[in-house]
Amino acid sequence: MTLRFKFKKYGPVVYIGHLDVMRYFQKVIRRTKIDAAYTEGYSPHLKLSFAQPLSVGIETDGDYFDLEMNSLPDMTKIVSGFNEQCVEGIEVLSATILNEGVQNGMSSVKSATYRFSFEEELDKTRIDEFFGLDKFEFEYTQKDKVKFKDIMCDIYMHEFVDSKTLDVMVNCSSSGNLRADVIIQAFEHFGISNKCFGYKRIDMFTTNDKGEFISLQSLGEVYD
Amino acid sequence: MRKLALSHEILMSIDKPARYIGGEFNSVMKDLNDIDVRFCMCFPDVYELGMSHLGIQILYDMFNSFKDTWCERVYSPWPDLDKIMRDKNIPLFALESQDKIKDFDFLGITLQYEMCYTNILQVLELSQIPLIATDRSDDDPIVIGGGPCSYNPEPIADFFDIFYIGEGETRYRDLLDLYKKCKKENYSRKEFLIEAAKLPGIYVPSLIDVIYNDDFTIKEFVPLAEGIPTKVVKEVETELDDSYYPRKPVIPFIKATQDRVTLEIMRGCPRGCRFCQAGQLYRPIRTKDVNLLKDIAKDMIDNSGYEELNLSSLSSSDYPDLQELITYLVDYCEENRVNISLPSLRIDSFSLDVMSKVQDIKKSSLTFAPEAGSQRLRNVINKGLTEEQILEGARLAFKGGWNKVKLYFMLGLPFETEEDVVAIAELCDKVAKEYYETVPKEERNGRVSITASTSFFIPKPFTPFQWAPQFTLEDFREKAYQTKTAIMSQLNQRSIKYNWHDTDVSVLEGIFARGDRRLSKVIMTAYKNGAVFDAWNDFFNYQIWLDAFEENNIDYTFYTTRERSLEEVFPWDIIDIGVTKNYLKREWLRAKEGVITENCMVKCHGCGANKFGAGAFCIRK
Ligand code: SF4
Repeated sequence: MTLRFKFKKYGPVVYIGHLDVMRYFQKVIRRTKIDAAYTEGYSPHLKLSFAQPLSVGIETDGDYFDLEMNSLPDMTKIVSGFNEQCVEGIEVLSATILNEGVQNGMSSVKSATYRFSFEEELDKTRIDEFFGLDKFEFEYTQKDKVKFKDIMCDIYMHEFVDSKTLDVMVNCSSSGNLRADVIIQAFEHFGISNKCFGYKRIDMFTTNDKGEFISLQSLGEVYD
Repeated sequence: MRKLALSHEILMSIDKPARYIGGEFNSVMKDLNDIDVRFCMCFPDVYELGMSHLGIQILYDMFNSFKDTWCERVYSPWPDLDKIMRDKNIPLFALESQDKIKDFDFLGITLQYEMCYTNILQVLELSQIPLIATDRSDDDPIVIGGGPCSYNPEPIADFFDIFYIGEGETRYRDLLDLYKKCKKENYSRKEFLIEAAKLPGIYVPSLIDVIYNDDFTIKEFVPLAEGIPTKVVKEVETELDDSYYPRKPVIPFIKATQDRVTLEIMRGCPRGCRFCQAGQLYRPIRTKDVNLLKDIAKDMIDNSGYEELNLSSLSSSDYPDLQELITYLVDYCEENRVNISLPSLRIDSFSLDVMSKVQDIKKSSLTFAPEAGSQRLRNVINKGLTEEQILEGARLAFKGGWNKVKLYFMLGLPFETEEDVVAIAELCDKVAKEYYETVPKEERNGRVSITASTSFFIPKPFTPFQWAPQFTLEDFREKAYQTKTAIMSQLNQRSIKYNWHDTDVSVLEGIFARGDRRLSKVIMTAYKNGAVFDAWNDFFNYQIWLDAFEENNIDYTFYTTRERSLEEVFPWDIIDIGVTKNYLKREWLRAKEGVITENCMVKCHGCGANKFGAGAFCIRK
């Protein structure tokens, strides 16, 4: 039996790194006293896995972790029970009882959507033009490393949210994880001068048997 | 939503930005409109170390239980941020509110080890508070020092307005009330300090003049205002059971050095080892009620989510209800999947039984702290642990399946001879031999592994060894070398590993431990020349310190290797810890003769700590 939790992270706590977020949730889970499963041995550990690490300094509205359970608690109270144990800026949004046979988030996540906010009105034609390219090879830095690579193969779709906000879905799987800041670098390289002042992760997805992207949250019975 | 003092760009450019954001689970936020006193508690080292410290957690709990007070925290910014703050002129801030320290009423600095002294100056300077207490204006926070090093605060006397002597639980309420009254009546800083110095446990160094003899020993202490005592008696919490304890500890986001909850089971130690400062400072021995401890442990585990519980005391085996407590905790922890760590337990069948339940025998090791190699020297230091007890403990453990042993020793103890040093190696060899004799070949799980570690002894104030000369750096190195050679010549030398710590720092610790006020300017010079984070090997620079002594014309051997007469007035004689100087003198003379003194549980020797009326074993007057 596995529960999948969706959470958001914003404000000062974005400066907590991924490993520390994991440690944070381990303690939250222990404080809620739910009947989670543990490994055997002298120092038992929760069977907890995160779908994809989030870089330091970035907000998210949709990150996930999976937790193996021995038995299920009262699911109508689980989200509020978690949030009582959470600090300001980390909030559990929902818990999903995963359907039988669903792979864990880490191995099934395929893509993530990021929301970019710009200072000025977006030039939609120019942006559509950019995303319409078959290939966009350029030199960029990722974690202080210089790379030269096509990024279009890792960009799946884009959507205008309002005149200054843009959503982009990118590859976020074990086969390739395109970081959001690379897209900003690509915009600059392409000659879009409108300054992006911030971005956050919105949600993460896997694919169904038809190959369509579906939210990681939706693979079972959802409680929020 | 809380606002941060540092910008996104700065936070993204430094290591572990989570050190500076506050907002941890169980950290306390208050509304400034309800608050009269803002207190900032500082541990002058990096966040991960500071967050591991129990004393601050107890005081944080206490201060925040006061309705009119908001206690926040600050730690030393790591050098990467330090530089940015200086370049951009960003004032140091408290974690909770992210407000400037400069705007607080109090800055309380805990003094846990001598090597943090330059970090005190770093915190003051980054806070934009004048470094010298007497340069501060009415608008600057009152800077208070407390903790173990405040029992000889003289080397850092210039930097503090107040030293709080003793246990923090008792007198802060009075001090805050006095502060509120003085503020209302528009007292100046100096007027407030004069009133404060009349409270028990409160030492205001600027109100005491120290007069020296020609040889720089102390002639006398002269009060500079009326009614200021020249003896400050330490504060003692006589009702530990009714006192404060952090049942809801603040949980750091990043991993603290001690990543666990700590349960203090008793204060003080009945053993009376002559080298040990804590053993004297925290007299008399007070134990906590076992049922209360069970309750606190349960609360702390429930409220924190930690995976480990640690028992804290100087000598847990002497806690009267130890079996009951541990049996309960082992069960509770197993049920809740919490590891339990049991330091300072004597090795006997009970402790081995408990350890076999909570640890993996194959991976864990046994620890003995004989401190000295020979029985003769163990008598000198009054370490009541005999060779038979060590070998018996080892034999029991080897039978139980253990094959790793750690042995801790000190080098440079008073009256130590070459034979005593060689005896360290011999004792290690005997433990190894015990293994091969106890465990038949077919049952052995590889070779026995013995790790001997030595540290260098530093004479500390308020111990019988406060009169002892410290050995020189060369002596220390020679002694470590002798130990190594002696170990190499043992039969079982291949089973013995030897570790020792470096020496420069020990010299400096020795200087500050028994230092006087003249050292404030040395610390200032060293700091101005770049010394900071001296407790960190990577940053410690011995040469800066040697230069600082030279620049100030101070011969540091005055503090270390000098012979002290029994009549000498010490810088720390301004403080009264209960244990009398006469008792310590008696103990020093007994040490010289190699005569042991039984522990308090066997017999009370009238050390003087009974005057607080709280000791579990003390004869009451
Ligand atoms: S008064 Fe006696 S029992 Fe109490 S601490 Fe001193 S020696 Fe020990």
